[in-house]
Amino acid sequence: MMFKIYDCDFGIKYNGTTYEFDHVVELQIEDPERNRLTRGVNAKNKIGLAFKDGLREPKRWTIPILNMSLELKNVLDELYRTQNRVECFCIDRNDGSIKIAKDALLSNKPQQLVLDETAETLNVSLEFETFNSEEIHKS
Amino acid sequence: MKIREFKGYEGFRAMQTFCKLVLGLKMIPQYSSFEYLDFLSVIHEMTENDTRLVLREAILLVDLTEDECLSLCVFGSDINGVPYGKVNIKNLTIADSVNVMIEVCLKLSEIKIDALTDDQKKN
Repeated sequence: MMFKIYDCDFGIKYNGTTYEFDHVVELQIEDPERNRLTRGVNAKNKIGLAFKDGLREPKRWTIPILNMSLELKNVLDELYRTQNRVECFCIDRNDGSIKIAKDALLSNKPQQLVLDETAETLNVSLEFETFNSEEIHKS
Repeated sequence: MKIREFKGYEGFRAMQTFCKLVLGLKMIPQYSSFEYLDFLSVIHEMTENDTRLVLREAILLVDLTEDECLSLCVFGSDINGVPYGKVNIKNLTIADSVNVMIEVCLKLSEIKIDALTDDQKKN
């Protein structure tokens, strides 16, 4: 399943420091885990057997970040090279719910999307994968 | 901690904040007998440790706006070498931010912008 969160605050915790980006336009989360049904080839069972599919695949977060400093891009490049794990979080500005991706791996080398107006900041697309995620909903 | 080079408008804003700190400190009774430029010269001539103490006093006593604090902090950088800005400024504790501002101001205090030429000073 794939869903998108629009207008959220996104953050990365790395090496004891949190980098937080306000008003991120869009975060896309792909969750391959799903419940499925199966039955024998005679097709007489109307209840079927339930099983979980997609457990081997990680959840994937894709997010474009605008106005990222060159120094932070260098930190992320290093993060990609060393395969160190980070914690990502996203706070939905509409309902205040929080999504957390722990032990996340930066799966793609940070790519510059388009040239920004200034030479000092970059527009970068990030992609993280994780098996350890949780959601906190405001009651 | 590495301090970035003071360049462009950001650098100018940092210098103005530094001057505001010095002016603010000059207003307290202990230093009020000094003229502003004389007080600035006194700071220039201090040892590094004394300058740190004076700057700490200034940062803690002079009322700075959020923008002014940020104008100094942006020249410092965090443990990963990323300059402080909107994305990571929230990591700073009070003690951290004071220390960052002291280090930045210490660098700024090395920059001498004289209002008077040497000839004018002799007169």
